[in-house]
Amino acid sequence: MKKSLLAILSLVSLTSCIYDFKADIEEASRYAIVEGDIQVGGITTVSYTWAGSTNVQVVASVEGEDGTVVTGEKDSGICTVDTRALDPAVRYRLRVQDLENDAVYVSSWEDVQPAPVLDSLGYTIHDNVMDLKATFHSDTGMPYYCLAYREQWEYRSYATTYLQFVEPLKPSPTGGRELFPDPLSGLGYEYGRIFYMDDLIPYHTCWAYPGRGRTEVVTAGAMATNKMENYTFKTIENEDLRTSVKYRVMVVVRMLSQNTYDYWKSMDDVSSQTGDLFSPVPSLRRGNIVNEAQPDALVLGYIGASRVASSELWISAQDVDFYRQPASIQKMLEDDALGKREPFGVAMEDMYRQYKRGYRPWLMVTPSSGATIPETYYVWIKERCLDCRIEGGTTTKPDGWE
Amino acid sequence: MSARRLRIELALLAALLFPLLASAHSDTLRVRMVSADSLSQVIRTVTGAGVYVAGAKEDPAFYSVEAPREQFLSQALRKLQAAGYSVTYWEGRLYIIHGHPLRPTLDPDWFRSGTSAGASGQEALNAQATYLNKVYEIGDPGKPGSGKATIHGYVRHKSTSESIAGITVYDQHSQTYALTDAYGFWRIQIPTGDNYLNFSGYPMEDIRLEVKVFGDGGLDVEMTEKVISLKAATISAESVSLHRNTAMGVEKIQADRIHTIPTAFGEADIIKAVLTLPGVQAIGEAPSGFNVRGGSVDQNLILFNNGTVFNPNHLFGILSSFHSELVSEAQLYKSSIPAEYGGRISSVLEIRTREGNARKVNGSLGLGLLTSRFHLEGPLGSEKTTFLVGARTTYSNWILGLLPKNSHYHGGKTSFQDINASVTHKWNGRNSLQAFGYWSRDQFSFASDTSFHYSNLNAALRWRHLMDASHNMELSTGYDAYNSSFEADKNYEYGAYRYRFRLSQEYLKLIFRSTPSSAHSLTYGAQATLMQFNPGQMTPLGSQSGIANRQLPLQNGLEGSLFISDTWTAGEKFSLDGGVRMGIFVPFGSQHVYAMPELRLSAKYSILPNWTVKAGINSLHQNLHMITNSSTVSPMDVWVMASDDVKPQDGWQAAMGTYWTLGPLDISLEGYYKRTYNSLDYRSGATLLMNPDLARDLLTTTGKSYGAELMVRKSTGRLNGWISYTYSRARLKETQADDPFPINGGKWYLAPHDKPHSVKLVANYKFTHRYSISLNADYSTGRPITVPVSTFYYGGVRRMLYTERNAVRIPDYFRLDIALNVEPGHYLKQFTHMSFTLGVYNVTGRKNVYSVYYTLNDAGQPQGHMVSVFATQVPYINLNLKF
Repeated sequence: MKKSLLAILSLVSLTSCIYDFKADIEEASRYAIVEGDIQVGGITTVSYTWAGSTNVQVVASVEGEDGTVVTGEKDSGICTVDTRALDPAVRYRLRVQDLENDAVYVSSWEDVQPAPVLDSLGYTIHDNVMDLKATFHSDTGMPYYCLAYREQWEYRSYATTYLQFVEPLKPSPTGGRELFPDPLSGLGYEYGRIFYMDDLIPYHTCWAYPGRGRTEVVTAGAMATNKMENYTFKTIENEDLRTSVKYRVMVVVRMLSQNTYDYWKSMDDVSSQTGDLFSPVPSLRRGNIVNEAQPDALVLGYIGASRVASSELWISAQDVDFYRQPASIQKMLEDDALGKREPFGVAMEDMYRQYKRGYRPWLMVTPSSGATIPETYYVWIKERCLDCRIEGGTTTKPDGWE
Repeated sequence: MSARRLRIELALLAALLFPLLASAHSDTLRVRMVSADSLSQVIRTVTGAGVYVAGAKEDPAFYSVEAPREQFLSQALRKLQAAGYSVTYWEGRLYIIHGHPLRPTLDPDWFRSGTSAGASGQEALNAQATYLNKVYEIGDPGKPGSGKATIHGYVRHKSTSESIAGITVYDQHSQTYALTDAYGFWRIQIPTGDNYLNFSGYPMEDIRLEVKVFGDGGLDVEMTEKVISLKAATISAESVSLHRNTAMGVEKIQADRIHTIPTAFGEADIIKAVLTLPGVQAIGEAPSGFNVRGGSVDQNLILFNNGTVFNPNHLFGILSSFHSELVSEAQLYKSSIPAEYGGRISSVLEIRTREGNARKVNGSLGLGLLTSRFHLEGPLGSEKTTFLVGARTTYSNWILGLLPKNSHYHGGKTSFQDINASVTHKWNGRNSLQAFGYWSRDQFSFASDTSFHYSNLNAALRWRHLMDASHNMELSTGYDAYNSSFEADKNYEYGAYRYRFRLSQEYLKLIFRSTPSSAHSLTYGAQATLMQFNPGQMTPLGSQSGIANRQLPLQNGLEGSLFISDTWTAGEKFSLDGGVRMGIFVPFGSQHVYAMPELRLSAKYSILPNWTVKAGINSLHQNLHMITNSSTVSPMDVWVMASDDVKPQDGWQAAMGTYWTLGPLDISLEGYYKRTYNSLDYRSGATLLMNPDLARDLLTTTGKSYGAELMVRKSTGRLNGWISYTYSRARLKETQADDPFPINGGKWYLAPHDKPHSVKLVANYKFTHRYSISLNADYSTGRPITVPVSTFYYGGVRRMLYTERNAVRIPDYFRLDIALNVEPGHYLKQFTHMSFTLGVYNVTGRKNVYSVYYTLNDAGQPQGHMVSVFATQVPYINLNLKF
């Protein structure tokens, strides 16, 4: 709606422009955020933020109206509570104690929502886009669902090499610069040296698993039955590294009370609608968790109680021919590669200069007899093509990775 | 006649007279072979009466008369009449005129319609006054009355015979004043005897008629447009109305002024013209609604030929729904709302179309940058029946088609169409019947998965009947409908749906107007409106969609009202308007019935003829609420009616004002204070569409607004227009009892349309009757908005934190527009006449803020962006072809 309006006015007038706006207003920071859901029959994970800090010492406990109290371990920012043995027929609330700021937050008593049925996880591909879909339903309960997912994926660097460039400078005990001597000639290499290793340089396989998952709320209230059929919760483009080797998504679905759903919806409205003329007037619905000593203090979060359904989906590039290397990467490997099209300078001084510019040795070219440049030379490419860690991943395999 | 012949005649005459004088005792008079002139001299001598002769000297004939003295005159006159002379005896003189009869009074067949005033004075004699150098007799000369008589009639345009509203009728003798209504009808009580009636009104030529009033009667007047004279009149019709009319806060815009106000793309627009008035605000550059004296947009009643228009916008407010070529005038009631109007608590905007040219078929064709328009009007068979049709369409789709194919908006569509049609029939001078219809439709869609549609439909039938000289009646019935729909989630085949919303009403309204005495003018009547709402219908879109067919319960309600008001004129200085409107609203199926008396009171005191003070107070009710979760009107908005869970809105306004006329300038200063109750806001995150329990998500608010409006207007002369300054404040406060966390902590907060300072200038300078230049300037304080104060992560998404609503203002708004208007030349034999307007919108190129939105910058902090739609000068040309 907002985009439609702006498009009409802007394009019809062809005279519009957008420029920065700075509001003279004091930023707010002193408020608490409590995020989590009491997961009956599972592990309750609660995150706590105070004044923007996620490292505050906190301890959480789940209390039942029947007197049950289950307390978790003290931790920094995120704490867990073992709520596997809780009775789903009892109402529960969450208590979070901020040990550094001497504040206690308590949520309202909440009924335990029944677990939905997660019928299937799957995907469809169209127009270079992969839609991840979930089908879930409930035979009882309200038509409000919360779908949370966490992703993990394995990917490779865009190129691999056996060559490693070692920088020339290393600290000298005498305080100077010590040259790295060539063991054969005994000469020093002031500008570093390229070594041909026995194995591939190790930063060619990485895993990415963002610490924060993503949560969405949906309602089946408009559907003929209390079922969400093939609901698209994630869209992946074919140049995304997620599907280049192997991808895993873990989905947890739970049901919500109407109040919980309304709170999440107000959060979504405030995030997706950015306060312009045709957007909902932004304001935040207050949650159900308050500071015991200061009930009027701003606390963000809504704590519900539910049982969950979970599943996971694996997508392997061997099974799905979907991933396409981005054109920008291909350009890096071809046009921008130093020495790919014609021999690149063999002087170490030149190569060292390229190293400092972010290039790394990739290929070693030994010319045939009669070549213009008889000496061995190297092809250099951007470090990003060779080191997968630059794309945000790590070489540590996540737990449970197949 | 030769000199010789004349001398002979004189000799013969002398010879004749001598015997006549000498033989006075003789019984026979004889003249032979004399001219008509000479014969007239004889007659003068014989009768001793004054004789006036004309045309005799050119007559070559000779006359002979011989008859006894007592028969001589008759014989002589008979001879002359036989020769083509007319003989008239009037006020003691004898008029003998060759060829042309003398008409000292109007012959019975001079009058075009009506009958003579009877003894009871119940029937009217309607004269057609087109000549200024006549004395018009009104009433029955045979039964002259004493005291006062009621005169009524219509004022029509001489060339088209269309009624003209807003003409001042003023009797200098009794200093009595009347104003023609929307149908050109006027009624005034003046003393019997000789009077002078002045008819004046923009843009017509003032006329002054001498009337001889014997009793009740009628006088229809034709007026012509002021063509040549651009000299300022000392008193304009607006000035007279300002000091004579008890009502305050009433603004009128004539049709021709609408075309002179520069607008974006040069499209003449009635709503844009209304926005140039003091006390009227809009939120954005292209507003979808307007705010009057701090009221919200749904608190304005917009009437189009008696029908209610619920969404008066095309293209999100760039244009309004009204075809400017068809509009005769618009009247905005900001404060003193007549008792015959009800249903909204802030203002009434009444727009009327013309009836159509009764003399000949003509029309116009207009081409602009955005739209094209056409209209046709004329008589149907006779001058008693006229038709008026008009249509508009837009062709903005071609702009979207020019975009690259990889543009998100390529292939998008946005367009509108509207059609107006009316037929008016008048018969026997007492009755007129008009059938009117209006239909408009807007649609827009883009390459995304959503498309929108909305439409208006109005149909009305109106019968006006003149019961007698003092009473007339108007009966109208009609049907109004507003439909809104959109199709969404088309890319999610399992969730694709179509949503529809509809509201309609059928109404019957009966109004009587009477003038029982010169001191009182009564208006009374009744109105019934049957409302039908379909608050939401959702249907699956496509064979794969799993959306259920859902229909929210239909809402119906009956709104009835009785009203009466009286304008009491106690002398020349003081008058009082008092009225009561008793309304009742019955929502079907509800346990509540809402009965709502409304008071309308205003008073006027003229300290001097050119200095008047007024005061007034109004209370109003509104049974409909428009629920919107944005700052301005959008097609996604829904309407709800009062019910068990939703109370009607209430409001009252008190106002005072003082008015001066200094030469050609009218100066007015008005102050007001307004309160509203039970207006609705919504809980954050509420679902407004297809919500079966919408009342649960609504919040009640109260509002208060106050301000002052200073306006200087010049209505006549080469330079005309107005400049105004308005100081106004508007605040809201949530009053929902069960909300533990009210908006802004339950404190008063700024309404989204709160703009403390506003200056408006509208000026038009006529170099000649063909060439004029128009200037429009608009300044206002920036509106308040809600801005984020922080960001935080929740649910894996970085979100913005908003706290205080409307705590920050966007930059001030200023815009200057200028236009050159060229009217067609007055070549009578030319079939077509072209006029065009060249203009520049936003001359200074100021980047006025239309909207502000926020994104997250690289540091994860909220970054504000101001969108300016017309960020540069926008030149335009608009062509209009009349035929």
